[in-house]
Amino acid sequence: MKRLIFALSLLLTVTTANAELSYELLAKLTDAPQSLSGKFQQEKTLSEFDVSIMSNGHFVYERDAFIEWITEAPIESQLKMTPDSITSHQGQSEMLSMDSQNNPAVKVISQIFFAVMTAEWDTLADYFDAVGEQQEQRWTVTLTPKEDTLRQTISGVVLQGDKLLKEVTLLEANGDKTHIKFSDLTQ
Amino acid sequence: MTGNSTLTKTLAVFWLVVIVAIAFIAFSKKPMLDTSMMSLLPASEQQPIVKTAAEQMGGAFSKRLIILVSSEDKQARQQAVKQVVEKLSPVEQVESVIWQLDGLAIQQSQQALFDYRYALLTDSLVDAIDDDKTSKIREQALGRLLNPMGMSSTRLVDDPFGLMAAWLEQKSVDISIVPKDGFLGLVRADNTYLIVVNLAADAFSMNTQQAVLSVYQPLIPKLADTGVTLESAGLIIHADAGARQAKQEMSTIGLGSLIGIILLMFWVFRRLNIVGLMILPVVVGCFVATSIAFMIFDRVHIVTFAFGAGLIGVAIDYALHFLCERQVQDSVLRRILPGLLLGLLSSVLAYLALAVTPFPGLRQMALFSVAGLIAAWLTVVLWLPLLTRNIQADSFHAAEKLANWQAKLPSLAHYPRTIGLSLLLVTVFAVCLIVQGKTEDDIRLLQTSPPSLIAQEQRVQNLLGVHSGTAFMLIPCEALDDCLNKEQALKPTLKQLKQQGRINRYRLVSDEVPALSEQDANVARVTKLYEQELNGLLSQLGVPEVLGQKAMASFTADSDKRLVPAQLNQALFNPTAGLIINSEQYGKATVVSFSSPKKLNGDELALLQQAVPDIILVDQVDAISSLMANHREQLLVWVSLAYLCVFVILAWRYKQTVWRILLPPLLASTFTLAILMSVLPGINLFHLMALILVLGIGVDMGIFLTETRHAAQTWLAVTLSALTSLLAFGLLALSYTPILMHFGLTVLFGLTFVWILSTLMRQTPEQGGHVETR
Repeated sequence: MKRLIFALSLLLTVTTANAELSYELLAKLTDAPQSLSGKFQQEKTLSEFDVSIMSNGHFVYERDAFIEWITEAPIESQLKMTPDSITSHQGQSEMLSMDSQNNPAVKVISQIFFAVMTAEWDTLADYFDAVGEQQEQRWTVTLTPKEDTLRQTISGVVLQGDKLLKEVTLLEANGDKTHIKFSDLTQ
Repeated sequence: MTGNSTLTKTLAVFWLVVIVAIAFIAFSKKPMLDTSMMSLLPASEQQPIVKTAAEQMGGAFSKRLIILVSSEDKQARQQAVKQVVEKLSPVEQVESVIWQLDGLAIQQSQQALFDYRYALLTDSLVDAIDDDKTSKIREQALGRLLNPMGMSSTRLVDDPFGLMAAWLEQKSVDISIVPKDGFLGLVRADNTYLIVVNLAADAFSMNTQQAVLSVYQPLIPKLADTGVTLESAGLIIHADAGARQAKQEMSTIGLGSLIGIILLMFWVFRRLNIVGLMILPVVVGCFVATSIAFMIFDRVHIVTFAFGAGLIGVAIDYALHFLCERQVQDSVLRRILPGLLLGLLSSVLAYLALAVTPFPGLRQMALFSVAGLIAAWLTVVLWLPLLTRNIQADSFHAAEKLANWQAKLPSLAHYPRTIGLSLLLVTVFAVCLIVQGKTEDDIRLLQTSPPSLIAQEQRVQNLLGVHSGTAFMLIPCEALDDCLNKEQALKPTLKQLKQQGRINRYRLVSDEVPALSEQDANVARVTKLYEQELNGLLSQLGVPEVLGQKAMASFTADSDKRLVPAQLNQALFNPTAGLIINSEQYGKATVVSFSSPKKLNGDELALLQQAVPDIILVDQVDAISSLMANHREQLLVWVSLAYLCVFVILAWRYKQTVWRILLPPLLASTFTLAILMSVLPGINLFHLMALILVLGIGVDMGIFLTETRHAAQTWLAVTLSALTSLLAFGLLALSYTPILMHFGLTVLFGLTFVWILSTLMRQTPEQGGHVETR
């Protein structure tokens, strides 16, 4: 009898954990605002040396147009992504500029980042399989890349949020982890 | 007499055995048909290393079939790829089919470069360090490390400044093929997958064409029904189209002319068996010629067959001559043998003149023709006397009719002044036209592929970001590293030319593998970078100092590693494939591939040579065009020599009457050239080749006519022979294969003139020529 209960409870746990959180459901749960701005707190963990690099700043995005990612500490730096390019600025000088037309890697990465930030679930469905769970308003979803190529860089993405995305954890293939927490979100 | 006839019979049987034996040997080999215009031309004029480079660069194209699968519907597209792969993979002539891109393999192949990160620096990093702007690199590295979407692996210890990441990012700009849904995707076309079929054998092999394309081509309409478009590129497609068109035309044209010839013969001789006897030597001649050509050459060119069609006219000459004469006398062979032999000899000589030219194509044609002529001749001499023993041919009616009609035509003998003067005038006019005429040696005029195939090829190449550029630069050197050094010296000039818009893009081996000295310099640059910026970077990130020591240790460990070209061979897509010439025999060199909006001229070459004095600028199209021009001139010399040779032989037998034999083909050639030059953009090599045929047939006519002193039945024979040749070649003038069309046109004009001129210059009865036959 004890065994049976144990088995049943195990089964129950498994089913709860696997509760399919489809992209359709996510689309219903979340807002997809036309524009959004807020603050972020980023922690990059480098697994090999057990070191964390902290940074913070604010961001602005305009759906389908651009995302500006402004780091305020430890240094000032600005990253601007459009669907076609990534440009990075430090002070007045342009540091890095990449055109996604010519660079497939940039294209994929900017597409994914855009999709994550602006809750474009359709786009994410092209690249990732999703498994997640939902508790009332809060949800957590884990994305696993469908393709080997993407898996070379990203082993997974964990998203958490309610109406809006609140936390992103980016798991890199080499074990590094980037955790971003959003606050003071205004639409 | 009995002994004689036994000997005749033995020889006849022996000839049959020889024919069967030749056929047997020939068809145990697999026939290959060549359609490439290049193979007609000698390539030996280029320096061996240039030739090797050109071959190496063309090699990939010739052994590959590239297929693009496009559809808006992803499912249908994926299904289509699988279907194509499923069908093509089991084909024996297919070595491999590539349609997936293994992401792990890419990673591994990039990983292999990681050891050399300190020696491989992008241009912008080199400039920043050399300009003492290392702080900029530090800031950039910080940005890279803080970037939420960390581009590739940020390795704080092994590569804190992201040198390798920068290197790979720069490389990926050139990439046009990416993994997509587990298939090969294209950067420049969203709804398209790529399939690369590597062929196991030569694209010109009819066997390969048949095996691969008979599987592939039916898929095109079938998949079109599901909304999927297939586009393809590769030599095999063009070779197949060329061979198919040539074969189809050859069979319709060949059949057309054969039917025409049979009807003509039947009209004249009114007896089927006689027509059969006429055709027999032609058939045997063509058969033996084809067999011997396939026996001796690996590939037989379609033009050889076109040229060979001319055999029909010449070969039928012998039979006609024999049969027409036979009506006059029974012991005909003995009487006409000298003429027949001389006819054969002069033609064989003319063709042998071709055989000693440096043209591989011409040699093949010469051999084909000589073999065919000898076989036809032997058939006439050995078989026809036996076969015609009980046949009474009667062509007097036709011969007389022709003679009567011809008698009404003006002749030089009747009106020496009028005709002589007008001939002279026309000749002078023709010569003037020829002198002023243009030549057109552009190989592209001879392009045989249909425009739709060429457009498709172009599109595929654009999407793949390759250009089948026929122009490239070649940098020779003693050791490969020297080449890389020279490339380094060339780079500023290339950058300058690109800025000025004189070249669009270029590709250097040293952009993938810098010269060892440059790699040394790069390591020195990184040393400077580490000294100045490493500690600053790490403290800005707020990480423990011990990481700095670890980073230095990692640098020390790998800083003496250098990348050499051979290591790239293990890469998944070797970016330097085909660009390195490393031949024991011909030496070493690297290829700088480039594309330019306009042809590079002396100015640019001078600039390039300032940087690298022994650089070679190769333009294949140019090279071939000038080769054709060169050989056009040479061929003119050969044609003149052939005339001279024939003249000497003929003068020895015919003394003063030799002009009657030689003048018609000579003037006919002149008139033909003049007409061609005024109607075509220009004449080239292939028109001259056709004129050799005019010479061969024309001289034969002249010999036979002179032998019988222009007897009516000989006139009938040469007229029929001219008409059969006209039928054979005239129809070629309708061909869509440019080279065949030019051939046909030239011979059509040439032979018509030969006949007209021979008629004008005929021996009249008063001069001892006899119209009466019995």
